[in-house]
Amino acid sequence: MLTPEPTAGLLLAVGRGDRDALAALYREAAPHLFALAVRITRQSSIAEEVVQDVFVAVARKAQSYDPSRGTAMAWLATITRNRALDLTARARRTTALDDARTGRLVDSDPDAFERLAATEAGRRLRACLEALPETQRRAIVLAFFDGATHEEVAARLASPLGTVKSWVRRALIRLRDCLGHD
Amino acid sequence: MTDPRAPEPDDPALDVLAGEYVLGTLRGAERQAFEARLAREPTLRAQVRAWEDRFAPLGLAVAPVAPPATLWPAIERALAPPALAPAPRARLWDSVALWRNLAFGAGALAVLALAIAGLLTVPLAERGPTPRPAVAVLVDDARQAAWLALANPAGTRLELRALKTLAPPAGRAFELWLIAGPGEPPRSLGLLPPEGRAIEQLPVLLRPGATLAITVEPASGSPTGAPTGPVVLSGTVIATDGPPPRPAS
Repeated sequence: MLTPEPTAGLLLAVGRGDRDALAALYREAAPHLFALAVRITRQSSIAEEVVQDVFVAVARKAQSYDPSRGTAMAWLATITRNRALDLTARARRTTALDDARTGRLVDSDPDAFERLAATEAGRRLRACLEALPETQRRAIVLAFFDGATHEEVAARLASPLGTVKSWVRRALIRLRDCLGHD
Repeated sequence: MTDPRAPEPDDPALDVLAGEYVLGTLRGAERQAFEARLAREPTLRAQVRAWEDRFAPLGLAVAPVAPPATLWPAIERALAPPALAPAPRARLWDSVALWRNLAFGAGALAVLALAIAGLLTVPLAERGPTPRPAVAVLVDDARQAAWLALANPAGTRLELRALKTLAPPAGRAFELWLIAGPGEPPRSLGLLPPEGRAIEQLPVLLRPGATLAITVEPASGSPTGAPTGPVVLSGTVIATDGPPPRPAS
């Protein structure tokens, strides 16, 4: 588990133009961000482009990180996810969701759940996810953790598209109510 | 935490849409339309932020995967040139795969452009510290440099020098295009004879980050005023202001 403090410190140094800090930040964060990008893009070459774009952007705009907002790793993960989703929208995805790798979902991967439990916010999210009906929780996890589209979730859960869309919407509302508005 | 820009709780549909955006189920045109709204609506941005915070722990629960060893050197190359604007991406001409290659190689190309500009000892200096002259190396699909574009410091004049002889297919002509920045339409700079030419008055100022591209068009040029043929060469305009600035400490 990455501790947020050193990451934030590195990010602040990167914001002051320290290239050594950028290298250190890369060593610490890149395996994590690359893993995220691979899950969403499902293509190593696009995932590499995502991580490259993220680090280039971070080198130029590390100042835009707001420590009051949350951990530096969470910030990096958010911009990585956004970039991965943007690039995935433009590239044709050739890898199906139903490959062997997607057997490792958060709800069937004890390690991932353990990592989720490493922080207070993670424990709250886990509790709220566990409070969802099974189908809703799986839809959310597939979408967020595996970058699945509505269509892919529907195929995976063998359910009609409209049903899946409404599960996702209802799950989001429940999660928001469970986690709070702040 | 208390956020003064917290979303209005009276628009549940919009908040769920923001949740879908962060979740990743909003794709393609829907995602782009949402991002366009996001740029205009602070309330929506606050809602997205709240969703990002809610889901953040899940994003951190992925088991790490070591990226290829080539990735860090690629990032360093991309960061090497000073003030290089992000290369334009698929937004410009979606169908042309060349743009992606351009983005990948922008850093290395910038270094190459500086080296070539130095070798030619071009009389670029028209005095005055800013703005500085700009150059672009136009490369083909195989990333071979074929044309060097040199601008005056004011960015009003452009000279194209052939680095190797390239002829358009029989009955066709090369046409030069300027894309002034991300999201800008390509503007024709006219036909480009194989021996090169100078453009005395550019229709818009040439700035670092702009893209120059050469397409194959009918012999009299594109009939539509927009590129109709394939992009055979392109390059990003960079400033020739010497080595990268030292990081301030």
